[in-house]
Amino acid sequence: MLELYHWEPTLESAKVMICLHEKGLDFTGHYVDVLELEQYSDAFLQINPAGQVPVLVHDGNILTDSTLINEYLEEAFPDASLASHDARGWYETLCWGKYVEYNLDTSVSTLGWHQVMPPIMQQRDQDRLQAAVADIPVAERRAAWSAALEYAYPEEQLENSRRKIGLAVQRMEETLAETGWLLGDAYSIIDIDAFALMRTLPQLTPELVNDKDTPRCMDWLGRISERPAVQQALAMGRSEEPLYAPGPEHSRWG
Amino acid sequence: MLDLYHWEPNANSGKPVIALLEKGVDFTSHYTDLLNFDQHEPEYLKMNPNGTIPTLVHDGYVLTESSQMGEYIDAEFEGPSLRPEDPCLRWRMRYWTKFFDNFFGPSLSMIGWSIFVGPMVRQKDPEELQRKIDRIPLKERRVAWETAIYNRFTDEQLTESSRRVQHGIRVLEKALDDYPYIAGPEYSLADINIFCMTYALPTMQEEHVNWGKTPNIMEWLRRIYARPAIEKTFDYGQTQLAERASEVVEKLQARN
Repeated sequence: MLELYHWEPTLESAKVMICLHEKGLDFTGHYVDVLELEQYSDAFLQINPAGQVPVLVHDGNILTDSTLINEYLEEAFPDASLASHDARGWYETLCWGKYVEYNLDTSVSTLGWHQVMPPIMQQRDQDRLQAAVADIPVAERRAAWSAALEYAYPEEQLENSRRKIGLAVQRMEETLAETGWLLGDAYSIIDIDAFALMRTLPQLTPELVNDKDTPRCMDWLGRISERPAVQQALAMGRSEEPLYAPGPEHSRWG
Repeated sequence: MLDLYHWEPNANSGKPVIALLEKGVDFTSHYTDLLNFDQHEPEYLKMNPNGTIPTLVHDGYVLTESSQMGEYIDAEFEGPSLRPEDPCLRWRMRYWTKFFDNFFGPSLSMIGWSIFVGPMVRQKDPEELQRKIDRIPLKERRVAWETAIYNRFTDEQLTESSRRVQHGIRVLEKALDDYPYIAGPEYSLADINIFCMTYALPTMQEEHVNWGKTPNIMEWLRRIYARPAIEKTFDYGQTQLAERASEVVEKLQARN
């Protein structure tokens, strides 16, 4: 039996939602309202003490971390293969997974929160939100949410986020010239992971991702968004517009 | 042809050294002196443009990610398996490796740099040192090196790093309640990768890692130090970093 605890189909949750649909696996979805901080409720912390979605529960085994969950799905359900499994192919899958997460996860979360979320969040009771944040038991997440609720990330973090997205997009634009996919000659979990993080970039950072400067990325985003599995995954969201939450922290080493 | 460019068998450089020795694979070792910035020499950058250590070159194929390299070594070469078959245990292997790479490692190395590596590097000629820093290719690495070399960490950063190291020690101790090895009943790449960051804790973090407080970690370290491949691993070191291993072994044997 497969159960997925997830939020909106943006960022980390979207990676696993798409992968499950691509593999044609039956699963029960449990929507966790991240903006209501349900991921820090006692009930959810029992499942994942880190207080993060998505979480996959497979026959009682609890699996966390979206990149690692997709690698797990690829190994546990090898039918409808979404990766190359020879020594090089798998090494490159692991490296790309790390690269995509490192360059895009924090950066897109930071810009998404900064540009989209203040008017949405400021309609809510700030005192109640602050109190809920003060109760977050994981120190790094408490710090991330406290900073987010000030609605004023330092310019340096925003600039660093744009820089990292720009680097990743440039690398992808070059890579896509070869086969039309990010790794090897077929659609893979790397395309899924990257798509989940990048699908809103034409709206969020139009100066970095657009038809003129990055036509291959635009074409690739378009091809993936037309896939039936992707449309099914995106239909699991409740919001009309993409929503964002504070992502993993920026490097403490500068 | 298999060439490994590595520094001390410590942190990232230790991972492929141990994996290759465990598999019994012959390789040519190229000691690359991190503190002399050998990894930013033009010859090295031709091979690995990011200027990071280690680099593994197998018949012309270049690998530069140390944790992921282990999976390549395990899949490509004969010898005892270093990955569990069960996908859940493989997830566990990667989960703990990633936790130590992302959360524990950077904090431990911040402390290590401020008390140990930074002072060693600062003995070099200042102008020469600045020239070497200026040619570091990745911006993140350049900033990190400058901060570390000139010890620009704030007290707040160092306190937070200590908190994270201690948290990492607590969760590792707890994880070892479940199984004798990190990913499960068998020794795996997770033990190799994490050992490279934790092998000196009984001396570096003596008050937090000892037989009284963390018996699981002590027992686990003792099992790993007893492996023939680990004994050979420390022969690849040239500085006092590798000498710490024998002090630790004494402590591990001194259980009363």
